[in-house]
Amino acid sequence: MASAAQEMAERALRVAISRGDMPPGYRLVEAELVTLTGVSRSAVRQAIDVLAAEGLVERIPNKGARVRIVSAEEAIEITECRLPLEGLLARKAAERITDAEVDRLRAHLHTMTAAVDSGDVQKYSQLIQQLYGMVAEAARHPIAADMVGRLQAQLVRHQFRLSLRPGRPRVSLGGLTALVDAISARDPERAEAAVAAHLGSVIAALSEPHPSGGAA
Amino acid sequence: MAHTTGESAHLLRGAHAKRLAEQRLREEIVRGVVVPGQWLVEPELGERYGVTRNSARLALDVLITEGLVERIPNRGARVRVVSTAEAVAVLECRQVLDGLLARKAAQHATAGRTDSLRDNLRRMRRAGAEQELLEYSALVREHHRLLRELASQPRASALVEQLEGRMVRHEFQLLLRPGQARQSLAGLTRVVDAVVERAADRAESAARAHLQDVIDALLLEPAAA
Repeated sequence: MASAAQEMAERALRVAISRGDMPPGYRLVEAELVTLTGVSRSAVRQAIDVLAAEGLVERIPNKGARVRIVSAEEAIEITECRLPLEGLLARKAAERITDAEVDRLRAHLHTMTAAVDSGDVQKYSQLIQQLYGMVAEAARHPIAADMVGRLQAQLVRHQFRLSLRPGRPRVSLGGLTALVDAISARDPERAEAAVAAHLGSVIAALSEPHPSGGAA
Repeated sequence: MAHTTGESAHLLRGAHAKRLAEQRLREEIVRGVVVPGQWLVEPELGERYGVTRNSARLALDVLITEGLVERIPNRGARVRVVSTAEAVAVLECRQVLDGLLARKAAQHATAGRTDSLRDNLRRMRRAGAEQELLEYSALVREHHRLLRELASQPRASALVEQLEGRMVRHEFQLLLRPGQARQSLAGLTRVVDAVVERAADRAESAARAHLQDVIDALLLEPAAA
């Protein structure tokens, strides 16, 4: 059973990794993390154990731990798993979403469109993550949301790099607009299909060799 | 590592003892010999399974990671109560992931590699006919394992394995209902047929349909966990 201190350390690490503060390859030094999080060394160690079991960080013999580098092949594999789970969440969101949540979703899409129009790739990338979070909340399916969250965390870097490809944000926005439309229309089948189409296009893009390189 | 006293000298210890205790306890939970909410006391478990208290504790640790048992601070360990709502939520996740795995298995299927799936199905048919439900249950798990091997999607496999552990009691209890085993066999046969014929779309929908049957049956059960 995780202590509150351990959970706090886990959360802090997840946030830092997902925000790119601790990029792939970043060395996790227990003493530094104790200072960063304010919890005990053993809580930090246990938090690292949990994240290592998930594949977010890895232990290196005699050198501690580091944020794991996710290869292009793995990113594809992880996205393949995300596809059906996000589809489930989209379906449930379409069934359970409230009017207020629909309004917030539409407002968020508006913000995303503005980010793409102004070419703010960094912002757009963050907004995508938030969108999926809003869908997961509307779905009211904590087990699926938890699973997907852990998969998403490992894809942050790849998602960002994908958004840097010329023309990609516009394509992505199209896919996510279709998703928001389907959920707002409360059409579960269409919502699930929209996810499959969008993440299918992400998988296809990740599978293409690209000048900026495949591996993180 | 435990100090051998005269009293515990007859008890098994080590990795073998831990595995034995794991299997015995899992089976007792699945069969309902030990029920949700029931407290699990290490020395008692040890005595019952013929292993040391330490081996019983290690077995409990494993079942805790699987979600079958939980530790309550200052109270001890007990069999987790999994509500119907939680069971359905877990099954919904499995449903979509099994769909992915069936699709991939169909894409990778070759004549040689699907033989084991068919053989397993035959054994399931025999166990079902003989009403050997524990055996049938184990063969269903074997079916899923074979499918995962064929699919070669390690990430999805790991996710499903995590989910599987939480559901064993519910799935087994459902099999006890009249007609359930027969329906289960029919559903899994459709999955295997689609995989053998390399029909990826059909394999995915057959896998989902099979889990939908389980979810529907679960929802028909009275409210007890």
